[in-house]
Amino acid sequence: MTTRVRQLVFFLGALGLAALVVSAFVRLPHFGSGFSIDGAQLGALSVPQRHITDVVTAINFDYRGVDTMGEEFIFFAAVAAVGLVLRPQPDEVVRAEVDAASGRWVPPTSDAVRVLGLALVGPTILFGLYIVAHGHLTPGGGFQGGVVLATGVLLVYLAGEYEHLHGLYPEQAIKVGESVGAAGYVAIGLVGLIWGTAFLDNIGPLGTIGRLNSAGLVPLIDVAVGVEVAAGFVLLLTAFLRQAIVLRVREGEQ
Amino acid sequence: MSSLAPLPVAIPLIAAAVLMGLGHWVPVRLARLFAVVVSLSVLVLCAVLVVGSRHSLVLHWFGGWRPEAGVALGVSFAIDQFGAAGATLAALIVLAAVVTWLGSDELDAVGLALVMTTLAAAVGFCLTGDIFNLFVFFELMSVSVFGLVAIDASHVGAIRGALQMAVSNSVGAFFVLMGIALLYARTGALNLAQMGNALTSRRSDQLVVTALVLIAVGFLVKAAVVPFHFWLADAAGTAPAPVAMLLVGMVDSLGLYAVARIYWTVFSGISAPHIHALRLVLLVVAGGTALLGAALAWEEARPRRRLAYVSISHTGLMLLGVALLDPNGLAGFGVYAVADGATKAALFAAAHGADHPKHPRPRAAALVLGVGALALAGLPPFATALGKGLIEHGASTSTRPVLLAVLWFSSTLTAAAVIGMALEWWNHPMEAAQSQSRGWGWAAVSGALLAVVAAWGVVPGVARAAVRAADGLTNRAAYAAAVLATPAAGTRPRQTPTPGLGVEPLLLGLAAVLVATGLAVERRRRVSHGHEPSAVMTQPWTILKSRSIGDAVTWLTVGTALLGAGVTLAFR
Amino acid sequence: MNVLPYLVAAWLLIIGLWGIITSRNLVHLVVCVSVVQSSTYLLLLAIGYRSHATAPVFADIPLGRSVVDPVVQALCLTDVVVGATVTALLLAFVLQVHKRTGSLDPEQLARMDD
Repeated sequence: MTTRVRQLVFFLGALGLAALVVSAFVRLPHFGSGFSIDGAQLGALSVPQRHITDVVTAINFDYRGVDTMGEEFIFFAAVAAVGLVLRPQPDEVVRAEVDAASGRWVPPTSDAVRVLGLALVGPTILFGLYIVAHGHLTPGGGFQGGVVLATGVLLVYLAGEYEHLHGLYPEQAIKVGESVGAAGYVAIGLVGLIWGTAFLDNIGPLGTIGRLNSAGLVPLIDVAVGVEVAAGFVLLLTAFLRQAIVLRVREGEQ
Repeated sequence: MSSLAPLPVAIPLIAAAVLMGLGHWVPVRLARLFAVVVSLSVLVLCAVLVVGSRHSLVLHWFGGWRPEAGVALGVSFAIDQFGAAGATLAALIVLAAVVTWLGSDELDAVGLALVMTTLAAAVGFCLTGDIFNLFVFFELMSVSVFGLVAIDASHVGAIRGALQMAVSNSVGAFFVLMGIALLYARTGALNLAQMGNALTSRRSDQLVVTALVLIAVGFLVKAAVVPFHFWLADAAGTAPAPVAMLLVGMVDSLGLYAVARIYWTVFSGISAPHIHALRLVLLVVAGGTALLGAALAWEEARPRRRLAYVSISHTGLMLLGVALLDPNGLAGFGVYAVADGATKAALFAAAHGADHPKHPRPRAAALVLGVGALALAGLPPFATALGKGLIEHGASTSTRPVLLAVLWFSSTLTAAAVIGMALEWWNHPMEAAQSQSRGWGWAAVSGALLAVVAAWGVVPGVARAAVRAADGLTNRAAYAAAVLATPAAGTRPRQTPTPGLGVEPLLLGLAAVLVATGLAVERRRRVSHGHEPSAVMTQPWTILKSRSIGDAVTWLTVGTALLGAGVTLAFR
Repeated sequence: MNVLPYLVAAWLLIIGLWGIITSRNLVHLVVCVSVVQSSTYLLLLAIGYRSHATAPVFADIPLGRSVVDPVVQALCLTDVVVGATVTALLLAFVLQVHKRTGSLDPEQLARMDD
């Protein structure tokens, strides 16, 4: 279809879609009522039943833990797929990192960036570990903490050069880390199946509310997810950076 | 039995993680063997679940969170025979795809890991009893397949196909999520049985209608029903043949299964007064897909794309079974999904063998295509005939002639398209000269799949079992009572009588085969005598064959709006 | 005011789809897909909102205090992860397309032969 025709056809379709959707939205419970059977019960039950103060984590890793397992594997599959799509092809070659636009002088990384980047790596990683560990107490958890941990790695790249990143974080070791995190979640689930009543049964000691070692197996799951997400994001970052910086199609085959 | 339920999902997931982590150090052959073993064990587990769910639902409440007073806080697997059979189909197709792929160089440990996650997602998709869990497995399957389509990243056509597929399917997935949000707002629950109970006690309104439309559209995009079909031709046409096997053998049918499952467990109570009008709307969509797909297949020249359009047409036929909103039709859909899925996978395996980089064997592939065309046309003993017969018996007497015509015409035209391909390959000059004993893996897979389809059409009791399984799926009240452990008073088990099909499928099948062969031979004769296909014939089809992402999303929007209008009117 | 957040969600959906079909740059197209995704997040969170309620974290508030619906927040968390990973994968595809064809125009991509 030509552009004009397509826009017209879409416009008509969008009118219909908008009517369909808005007519449903105005029949929703009005904004602010927040009615829900499940939500009300879970809000009330999460602390007495599981000693978890962050109800969202309780839902994600305990009541509906199998959903989060699936979500973790969606992330796993996406990282694997990105790695597949961006891996060096037979007709590509790894070159030294040279700016592709010739004739342009690239200034070296400024000292301010270098110092600040290196100084922030430690606190960022510590913060990430804090968020992973306290997922069942305060907002946070494996996913959020894992992303912060990966940011710490990105800071290394920003403060230095690509080869530093490559040297400090060998890709195979990170792949193993990601796999351990992913398999760990399923393994914890199987532990529940074997020694408890069901898959992902939270059979750990529940401990005291508000302490770090409470909520049974949930902190363990948080750690597994944190490791997997951090490793996965590092793999994502290195795949994209490698594409942009060092991979070039062999001369004469473009 | 309940403890077995999570295993066919947990095992491939761990296998995927192991393959990713150890893939660098383990020889590729070992990794491939491992994948085959895992797929086989999942197939066995799912078959066990099929047997175990014969008399009652197999229930597994994750985390040990059992429902109380009709409220389910946790996520469950609620396995009936229909779901277990779907999971078995998925495992079968994955096993077939992996074995077909063994001879190629491009399949390494990471690709195998993605195949394992696809398998886990497909099985979980069929077994779950929770709508958000269904969505999560749906997305896992989607993301894994996006990656597999693009596995040969130096081939731009494949990347384009993957991009098309990813954009269309993502928009569809988020339509599903919107529908889930609306239903959650209305019912306060995410468990299918609980949602069905909550909806049934109320009157239907536009919110329910929109939720039904959005969720249906999302899954119909996955099933590549017209007008949401654009991505399949691109993806199946350019991806490696084993990935195309996954797409057409399994992914399409699972999309339709989701529509059936969600309709019957959540919406059937509240939409019962409007069932006739709703049936009509869905039948129009299904019939349109079947006929348009067949015409596109007949018109298309490139082999893989032609097979993709054949698949789209047959998805339309499967949707006819679902659209009838009746146990016979649903039973027909079940039988047809397995039989047709296996047949289409066999066809793509043959396509793999025909232009295999190392051992091309177009003549052998042509033979397989010929047998496959017989199955597509619905010739007994292939189980496709059984499926079509059951679907036909699900129609009321007034719509039966039209339904029969659509079924027969689409099957004949698609069979003709495939026979035409077979004739072309039979006369192909290139043939593997060397190493006569290697590179036959794909033929073994095709042969095995087609043998299964034929055998299944002959085994006694398949029709009865299918109708019983469909009775179970369509009985909303009994399902809800079993899942939520509430008393089952007033939920009479339906006992739909199994229709006797007689000699009609044989006659129809023979007629289809004869006409299809005639059409294919006639066209080949005209082409070889130098007649060009007229430009007038091909021009209108270019709209339906567009490869632009913008076009696909435009038609997605228009299709949603039209379906929304149709269902809204049906509910008046 | 009662339905305004929902209308905003509907607007995001429509405008995101419009962006996809009129796009002349694949990166822009991928970002429009994430706009469509964000309409769902908004819808979910708006459904769960409760007036005069606070976040569902009882670490520093007494039990029994009214909180917003935690289930939609958990759902939203899952969806954000799904959306982000799909976006990353789409961008990887776009990167390869650009490397192989030198162009980011979806129309040109559509006209290209297999």
